[in-house]
Amino acid sequence: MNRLIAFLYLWLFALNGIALDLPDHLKSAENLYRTAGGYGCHLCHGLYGHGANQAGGYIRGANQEILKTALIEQPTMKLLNNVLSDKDMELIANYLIYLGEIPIVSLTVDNMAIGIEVDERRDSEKALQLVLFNAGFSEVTLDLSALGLNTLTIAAQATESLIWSPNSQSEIFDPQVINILP
Amino acid sequence: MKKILFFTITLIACFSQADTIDLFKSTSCGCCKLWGDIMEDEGYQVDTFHPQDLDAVKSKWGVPPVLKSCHTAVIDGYVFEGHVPEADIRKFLDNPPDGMIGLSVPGMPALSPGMAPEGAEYENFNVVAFDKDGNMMLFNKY
Repeated sequence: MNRLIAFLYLWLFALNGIALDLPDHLKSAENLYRTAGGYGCHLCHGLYGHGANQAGGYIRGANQEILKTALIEQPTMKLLNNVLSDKDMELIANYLIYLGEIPIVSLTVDNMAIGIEVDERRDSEKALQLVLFNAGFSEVTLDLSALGLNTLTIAAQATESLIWSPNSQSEIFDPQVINILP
Repeated sequence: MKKILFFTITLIACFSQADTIDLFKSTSCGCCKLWGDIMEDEGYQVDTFHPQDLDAVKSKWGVPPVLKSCHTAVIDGYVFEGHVPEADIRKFLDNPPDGMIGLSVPGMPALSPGMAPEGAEYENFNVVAFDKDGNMMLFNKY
């Protein structure tokens, strides 16, 4: 069964990293997550709710109740509470719950070194979201071939996201095999 | 003659001291106001605006999208994005690096001015200089 699933992943993703394949009903939620209040939740919580070393931290998996409580109790979020409708909160929560289902691996490329934060669920045979941040001030190119992914160029200070799935080259995600190309 | 020279120098000094900040922010963001308060304490005059479209302001002033934060400040034709410490703004305005149009502290670092609890040391963030083409360099590191 697992082999079948792995095969299906291979077939679906054809050995390429793909962008987060959001269901249609969450696309507007993602947009709201990135624009709420005129600036967006991502500034404090990262583009994918993964924290990204920002003040708000990791919020993947947060439901509507958690969001509502934060909007009432967190001093920095109180003003945002006035501009989000119940429907908006539901949308954002649905997006965060969706992200919470996907194990995440965060990579930070800084000064030709790679820092890695790995979700404890990475050994599962599920697809993973790789979020890659280039903390440097010029673009970097990463060789992801050992993971069965294409070469990826990340602009200075930019964040990229890929979905990695178990494949013929590697069944378990091993971030150590990623190389920075000169 | 000496008197006139002295008067002129004083006048120039007065004008260069009284920096006015145009602060563009969202009505639903509190930390931007705290940053503005800090700048007022430092002697700047802060004029606050609440545009409908903050992104339009950021792109008009050439802030690279990856360096975005909540508020955008304009001083003397230069742009300062997010929670930039006053010391860095002063250093930049006194001697703008070649071709650079402004500074940014991208995102919302917890220990930056306007975000950090009062009296806390600024820590764990970069101040990034950028030019009009989006080229960047590290300006300061906390």
